Amino acid sequence: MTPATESADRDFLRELAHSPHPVWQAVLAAMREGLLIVDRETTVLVQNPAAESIFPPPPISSRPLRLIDLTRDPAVHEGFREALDQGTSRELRFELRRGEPRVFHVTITPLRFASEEPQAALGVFVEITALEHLERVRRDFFANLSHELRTPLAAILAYVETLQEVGLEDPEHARRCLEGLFRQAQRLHALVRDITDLAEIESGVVALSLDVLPLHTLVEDVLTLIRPQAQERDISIANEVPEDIQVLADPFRLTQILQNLLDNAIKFNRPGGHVGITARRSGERVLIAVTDTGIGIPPADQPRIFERFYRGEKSRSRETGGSGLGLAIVKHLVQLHGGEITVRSEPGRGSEFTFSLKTAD
Amino acid sequence: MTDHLRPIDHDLNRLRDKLLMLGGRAETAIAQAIRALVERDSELAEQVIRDDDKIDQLENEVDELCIDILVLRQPTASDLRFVIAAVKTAPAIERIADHAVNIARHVLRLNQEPQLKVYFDIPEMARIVQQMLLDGLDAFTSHDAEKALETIRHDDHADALYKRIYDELIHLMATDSSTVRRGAELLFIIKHLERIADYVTNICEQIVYMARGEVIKHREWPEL
Repeated sequence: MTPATESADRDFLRELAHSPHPVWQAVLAAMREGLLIVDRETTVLVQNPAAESIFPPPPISSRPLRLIDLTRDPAVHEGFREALDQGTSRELRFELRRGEPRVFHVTITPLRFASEEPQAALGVFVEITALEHLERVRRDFFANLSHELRTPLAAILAYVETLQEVGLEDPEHARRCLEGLFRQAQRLHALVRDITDLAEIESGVVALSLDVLPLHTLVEDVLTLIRPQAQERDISIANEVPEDIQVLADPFRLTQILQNLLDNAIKFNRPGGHVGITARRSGERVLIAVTDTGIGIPPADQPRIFERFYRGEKSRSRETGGSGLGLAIVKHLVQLHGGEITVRSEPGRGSEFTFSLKTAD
Repeated sequence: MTDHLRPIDHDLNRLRDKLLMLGGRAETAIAQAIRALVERDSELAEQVIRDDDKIDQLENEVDELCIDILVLRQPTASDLRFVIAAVKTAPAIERIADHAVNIARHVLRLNQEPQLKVYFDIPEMARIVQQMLLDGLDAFTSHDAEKALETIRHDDHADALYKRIYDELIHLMATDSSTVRRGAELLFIIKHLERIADYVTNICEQIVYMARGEVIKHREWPEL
């Protein structure tokens, strides 16, 4: 490089670093991506506001700001070094460890001006924290889904193989196998139904058909469906909802919410236990609570039980059946009604799920 | 861009760059070793072991640069204190990276056995130690003696956690003999974390010396 070219490049860089041009400044300020330009000595020439939020300059800095003042990440330094020394571009993943962890996709490219040799390098930092989180959720969802599908399918195959091997000569044995087949097929059916439901609710295609509903009567209708299951397990159920409470809700979806909560309250109860449904007004809302005297939920699991396929520890395990999607559906349906759902629980004593709906009074 | 700097400033900048790069590599090594432990990722643990060569090489480069500056530039006052601090800090950072490598070796052995249901507060202890190193290196970056002193104070938290997890692991091993091998590996890991916190404390003492010219080694915390 001739001295003249070198000098021209230096002038250009100096101009770039200190340019007060409003368009240039507006572009830098408007960018959501962090932008850094560093020279051959890794002095920071340009750091836009987004980059300042990623790399706050150190409080005491008596010298020109350098790349090492902003980050010590080896991959970022290697990327800039390669761009400056070899003139090559590089893409990398960068994790910010200060405070809440944040993840960035970084593209580093050499900047050439009058001379062929790169005089500076440009780094663009695009935040991908939320994207990576979603990707993890998606991966977990499909991993869980395939597990949930495989379990009943394996049982169905086992029953069919047994029937093929042993034959149909023993009617008692064949009956047991068919019952097993039916149970597992029902489980698969419930899982597919719940997945479809959840997908529809989450994609926003479910429209509520709101109506004024007498809550006591609606609960009574749901209990008609649930009672045989409770009696089978020797569990008493009490509808303690005052008869004068009316809510604004979609009858089909509210039935679905109550069915799911009551189903859990029975499934995770102990023989001789109790399930209660209460309701009270709170301002413009009605708070509906389903309580049980069951095994309860450990505190560590409580924040996560509304997640898809989350089942906590052993006692709420897959052996109790269900798709693992029930509470996720309930949460979404309650939110769709503009309400909230919370849980209070004490292991060994029972749980209370409370959700809110709009009053129709 | 930096034409107004003295010749020695270019060398001191290079030294500072290399020393902080060494620190960055040590930070990455610890973060990866702990992630390898928590996520049972043996490939990541092997990467930590492989990358140690780069750290050793960088330490040698820091050594050579320090000697060059001392011989060729004959620094004085704060420049001299900076070079002396660098001479003492580089081996401490290299030792920190060695402890990260040792943690990675224990992780490789742990990953060959079923996972212990509880790692107690080891991730929390690792978080404190990583934060200490991050704060210590930030203090070095900005010559911030106050921040260095504040970082030294956290060593007590790391020590307290070490003692608690140590007792819990001993109790676990005494009550369930099937956990002895895995418990022993975890005992080594918390010892390495505790030593890393000690090395960060040493680095912070050098930062106070560099920034204020004050030697605080071997002094108890209330005196600082």
